[in-house]
Amino acid sequence: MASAGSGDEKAATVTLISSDNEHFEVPEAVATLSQTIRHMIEDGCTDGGVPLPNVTGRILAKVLEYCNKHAAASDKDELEKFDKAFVDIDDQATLFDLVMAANYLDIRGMLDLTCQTIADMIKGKSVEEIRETFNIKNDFTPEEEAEIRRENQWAFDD
Amino acid sequence: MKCPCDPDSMAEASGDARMVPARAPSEACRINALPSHVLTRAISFLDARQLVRTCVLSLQWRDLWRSVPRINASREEFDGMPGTWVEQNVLFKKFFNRFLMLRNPTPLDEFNLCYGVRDSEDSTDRDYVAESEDANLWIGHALHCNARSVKVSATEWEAKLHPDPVVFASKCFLTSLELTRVVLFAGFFKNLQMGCTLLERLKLYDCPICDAEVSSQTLKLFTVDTGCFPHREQASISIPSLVDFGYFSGERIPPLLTNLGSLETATVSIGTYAYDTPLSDICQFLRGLSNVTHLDLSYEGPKLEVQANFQWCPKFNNLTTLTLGEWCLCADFYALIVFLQNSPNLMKLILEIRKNPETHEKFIGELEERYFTCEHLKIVEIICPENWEDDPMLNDLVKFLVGNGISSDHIEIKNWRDLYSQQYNHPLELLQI
Repeated sequence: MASAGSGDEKAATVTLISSDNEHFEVPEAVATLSQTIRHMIEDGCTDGGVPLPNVTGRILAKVLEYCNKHAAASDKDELEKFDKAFVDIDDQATLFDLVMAANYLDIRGMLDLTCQTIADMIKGKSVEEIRETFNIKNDFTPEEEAEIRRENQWAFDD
Repeated sequence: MKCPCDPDSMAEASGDARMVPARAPSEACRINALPSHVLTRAISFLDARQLVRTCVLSLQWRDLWRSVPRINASREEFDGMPGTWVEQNVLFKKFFNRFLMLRNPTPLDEFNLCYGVRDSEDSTDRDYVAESEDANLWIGHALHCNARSVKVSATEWEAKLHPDPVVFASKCFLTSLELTRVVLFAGFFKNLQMGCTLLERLKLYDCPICDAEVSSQTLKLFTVDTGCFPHREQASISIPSLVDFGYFSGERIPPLLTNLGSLETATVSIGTYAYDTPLSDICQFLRGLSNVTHLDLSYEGPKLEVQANFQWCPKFNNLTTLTLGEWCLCADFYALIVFLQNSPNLMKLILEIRKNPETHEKFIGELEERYFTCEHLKIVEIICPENWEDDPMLNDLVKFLVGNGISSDHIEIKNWRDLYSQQYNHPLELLQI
């Protein structure tokens, strides 16, 4: 693995190892979008690669797609377009995997983006619709639920 | 501010939720399995009323809303409610006051308020001030809760908000303030300086400034957009800490830049289509920006003819990146050449062509000498509409640049469509610029 400041023409890279043992060699400038990885590089513990036991290869590939694009710091409009397409995902499981990865790797922009997407899935929906979308089990007793609705009548429709 | 439809009906979801992922398999409830700080972050993007309603989803959700460190209060959430506009406003106020009372005293990161003040026929400034009282309390509350970022806007098509400047006078942790359609009474900047001692970022959109001087010792980024200097007397701007300045307020006479000693980046638009901006004022404005390293300059005024070699462009000795529109190409590239002659250390030139400079005549003058020396100019990007790549004017432009020592390898012509669909394969190549 090349190290920075050695006078090489090739920029410094770091190897990321997914939970299913896929190896990704990534330029440091891209990998350091993750504060977690940035700290590890600064602390000098990236020799031999960085194991990421909480992230599968499939998800890590997507995370790196995000990091590659954002590290290039291109035009703001272009980044917006990219972000919109990035979270246009068909299955919820992938979206939540990305949220968890963004949290674990501490990638602020990606965390905000995926969290905003979850919020957008809640917006405009009734309580019942939200439960259905996310499989939230209603564990209130009917009396409990009625009480909460009464307590918070000021926020619900008259 | 987004406007969710009435949540308790089978209404269509708001525009941003147009993609609805398939329902998760029957066992998984991924959302409840999120770490609580992550779940809180996700719901912090919801508007206040929708946020409170999550309390009924399940036991786990019961009190989540109370600790969310961001508040999005939008009067538009009450647009669908029964009653007149004024009655809806009353409902919003009652709701929001209650919301603030019942919230936990967790420090606030961000406070976003979109509020409405009715434009009545009988309007005096005093009415608007009275009607903006609630906004004063809410903003004050947010600042007392340590909000770092505050955005306040008045709903479109209604009157502007008229808050009391004293709201900003007590010590707070505010670092970023964005105001839209808010009147800034005299004393605003003095109060801001007294209380918001950590303020680094200020963005104003359609906010009439009543102070004669805009001053700050802490701001690093300042943007004024649309109608912020409505008064006849020329205002002045003195912000010695400012690094990034955006000016597209569209006045005939731009403000006087008296002290922008730390300025590095300026994105400015001078002139307005309706009135002539005197060349001397343009000259003075540019002089105020002459230390920057990055300049994006657009001229929006009517046709302007420069008389007899008037030196309107100062020396930009630190300028390394310059972005100009097609206005600089009129009259045989007049303004472009003047800039190049005054930017000896230029490294990157971007020309954004949207209209035909021959039919949209703007900045016109004559030059005795048409040559320039920019030893370090190694990147020239010309962005134009599709099918213009073979336009004779563009060919002349390239010839002219090459004739002044720019290698044709360093000149790239792109069109707008390609620019927006470009996929970068090797990000490092870009980083090397």
